[in-house]
Amino acid sequence: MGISVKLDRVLLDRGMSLTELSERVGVTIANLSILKTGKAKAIRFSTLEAICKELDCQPGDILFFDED
Amino acid sequence: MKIPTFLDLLDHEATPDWRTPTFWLGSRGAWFAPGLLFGLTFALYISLLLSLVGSGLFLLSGGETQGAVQSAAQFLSPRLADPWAAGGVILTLALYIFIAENVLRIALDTAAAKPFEAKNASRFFRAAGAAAILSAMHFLNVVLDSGFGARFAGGSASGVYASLLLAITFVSLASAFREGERLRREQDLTV
Repeated sequence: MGISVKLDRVLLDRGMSLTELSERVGVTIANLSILKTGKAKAIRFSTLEAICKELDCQPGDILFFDED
Repeated sequence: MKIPTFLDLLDHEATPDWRTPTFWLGSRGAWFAPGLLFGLTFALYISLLLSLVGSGLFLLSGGETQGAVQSAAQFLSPRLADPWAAGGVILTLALYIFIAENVLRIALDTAAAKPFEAKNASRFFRAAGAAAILSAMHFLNVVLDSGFGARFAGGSASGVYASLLLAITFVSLASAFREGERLRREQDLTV
């Protein structure tokens, strides 16, 4: 319910590991893990921008609004 | 213009560093009044605790006592002779120590720049409970002393008010620290 994160799916499509993404965007693995597991309460635009840039995707590819 | 509340100031980004004078004496000054109230009340309790401990040590060592220590010794000596009163004194001392221990632990966390640890709100609540028990003990003593001439551990009307004030201050701080903890946790989960 609410906003869900599909980071793992995008990572799988790009064949990239969380560690590699962490090194590229400069966000700790712990924080990326919080994001990936849907525990994050908020995401900074700067983080989203860096992730989208590295994964070559749109914010909508990572974040989904789930009404159920 | 919206006047910030005490809880608004707990927002980490809005609050200046606690080690700077701005935090304590800034134009908003919201920390100053509760800080001063808490500081004065707690200082009163610490001085009372120290005088009790000091007079107890003088009595045990058989030394001569003077001034404030003598008056504290006069307060303690008849009570230590009576097991019930001695029990009351020990219980009162234990409560003072319990409060002091909790507040000092919070002070240590604050000194380590981690004031909003999860356990600190609980510590304030526990200290508030102890202060409330102290207030009840003071009240009981006032009633026993004035009504029956019996003394348990010593107590006064001002003691009732001071302990109650301390309990209220602790509950307020506990609520503020709980909110601070919630904000900190939320901030920790911002990526």
